[in-house]
Amino acid sequence: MKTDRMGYGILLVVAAVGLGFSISMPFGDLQQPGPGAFPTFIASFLIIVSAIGLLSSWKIKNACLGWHQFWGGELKVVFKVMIVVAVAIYFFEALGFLLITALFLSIAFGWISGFRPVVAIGLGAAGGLCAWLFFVKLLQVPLPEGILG
Amino acid sequence: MESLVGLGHGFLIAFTPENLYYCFVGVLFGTVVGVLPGLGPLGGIAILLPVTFKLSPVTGIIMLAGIYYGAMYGGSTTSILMRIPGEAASVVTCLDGYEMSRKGRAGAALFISAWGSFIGGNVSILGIAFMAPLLARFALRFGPPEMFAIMALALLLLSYLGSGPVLKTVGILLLGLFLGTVGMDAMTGYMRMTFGIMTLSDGIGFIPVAMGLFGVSEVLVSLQDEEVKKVIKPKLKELLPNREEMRRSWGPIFRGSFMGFFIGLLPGAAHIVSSFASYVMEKKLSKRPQDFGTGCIEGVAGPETANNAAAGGAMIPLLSLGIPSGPAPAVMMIALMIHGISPGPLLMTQEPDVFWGVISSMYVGNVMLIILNLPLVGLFVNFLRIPFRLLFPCILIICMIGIYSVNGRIAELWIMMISGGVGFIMRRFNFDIAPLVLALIIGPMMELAFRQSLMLSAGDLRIFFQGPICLSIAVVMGLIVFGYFFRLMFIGKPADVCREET
Repeated sequence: MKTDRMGYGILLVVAAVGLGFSISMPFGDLQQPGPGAFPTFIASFLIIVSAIGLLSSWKIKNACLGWHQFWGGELKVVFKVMIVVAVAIYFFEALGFLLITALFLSIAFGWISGFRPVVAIGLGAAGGLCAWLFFVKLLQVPLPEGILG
Repeated sequence: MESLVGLGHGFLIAFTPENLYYCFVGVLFGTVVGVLPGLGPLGGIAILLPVTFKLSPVTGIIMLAGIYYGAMYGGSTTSILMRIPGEAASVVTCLDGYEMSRKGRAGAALFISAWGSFIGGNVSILGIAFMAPLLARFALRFGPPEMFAIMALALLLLSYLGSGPVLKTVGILLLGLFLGTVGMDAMTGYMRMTFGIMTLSDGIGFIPVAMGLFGVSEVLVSLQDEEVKKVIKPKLKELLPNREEMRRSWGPIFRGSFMGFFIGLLPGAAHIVSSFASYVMEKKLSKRPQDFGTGCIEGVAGPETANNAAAGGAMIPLLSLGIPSGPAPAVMMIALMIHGISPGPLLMTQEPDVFWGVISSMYVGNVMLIILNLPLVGLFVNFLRIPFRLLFPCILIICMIGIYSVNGRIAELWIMMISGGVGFIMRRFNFDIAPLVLALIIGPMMELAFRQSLMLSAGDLRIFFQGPICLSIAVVMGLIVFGYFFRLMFIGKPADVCREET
């Protein structure tokens, strides 16, 4: 599978979905264009461009990047990072900035970076404290206090 | 004369202790960001954006501008000493800079790079001081059709001069423009594609998207490549170039300054284009073109001067037209808007402190940078010794803090995360992500100008081709499109249609 083809394919799908949403909005007319006019115009243009790209990518003989490389080991790390970030965002306000920073850093250092659990927790706690001192105390950035508030 | 008076006023502002301090913080942080592979000027600006909320607008923008040109300086250090470009504009410096290091001339390469950057930076600042007021006055004549035409030209140039294949760049630009339409319609109040999510009623936030695309996706990409490279440490006594090297550098520095400044006015990857254009020009002008790539001082002096001059030139469209020429100036524009200041033709008259203060602080920042960069180069290189597995969780948490502190909305953190994933995939599909960010910010302005123009002309599309400004822009756009297709048909397809990476 060629990445160019896949890239243009995704773009085409996004454009088609976008066009679907756009045409459901009031289009207006040329004298008084409605809220749907500009998105419809852009989505249509995007469909044309991605279709041309898709067709031209068929002519390219060599794959730009093999699937085995794309879906190989690297995606595992990406998923791990995304999961940790998603969990941190989900509990950001409930647990509060200080706790979530310490937890996020500990899990990231331990689970993704491969530090020993004790080291990861130590680094996480220290990092959380430093971030709290810098952002909350020094810069007075308003951040959620959560259960510690 | 007006510019000189303005500059004088700007220096009074730039020399206040608070502004000097934050300028120093900006250039220092910018240099570190430029040195670290994976964190470009945009990431650096976005990370310190929350810090500016507590500052006055002029102090905040002085710090952010400092990060921007500091990163340009810092990027060259790793190119010369490790053959790792700290940021994209320094890629070309690797060719001769690293070869000079291998020959024991690392100090001279760093000195010429810093000196060229200083000269280029100063030439561009002079250019801003004299050109920006003229352009701002001229821009006062712009109505909606002219604004639409100039933004369309900016996007066309971005597609043509961007670092990726034209078709992909156009696709990404259109995607950015489309995403820019999400949210409440400015003219009718109609909710477009918000799906009942209140956060989306203000549109898809530029900052979360930019942080996701440039910060999070950069982390995801960098996690795959943690190769530790050998660092060549320059000795202080070898820092000064010899007389021959100085003599050979003057021409490239002079040409690079002017070329970089004018390329900087163009939207898109101007600083990247300028460094490559300068390298090609120096090679063509050289009596010994075969020496390029083997440690030629001209190959360091020209590109490094040009990319710093371009960084300065990029401030002109932002300050005088309110149109950012790249993602980093776009974040600066957001920072100004958070403080209730709209960059554009009226900025100079309505906010002279901001306008002239920023320009004058760039002189001060350039002096700070040359003092910082030369003696402290050994220290900056040590940042590269920090393992990325220790660095990336910190970058991610700072990104989250930065975004949350802007509006206090959790939904924007989700946007950042999704943008990070999308950015990672786009990079893997060889799509350039910078145009998306730029189109996202230009999109709403462009739509407004488009609709206002049509209402003014009662639906007559000829309004976009009437009047000297619109007509000139239309002709330029026509020539660019014609030139592209001419090249495609008669000279051949650009080689970058498909990059072989396997």
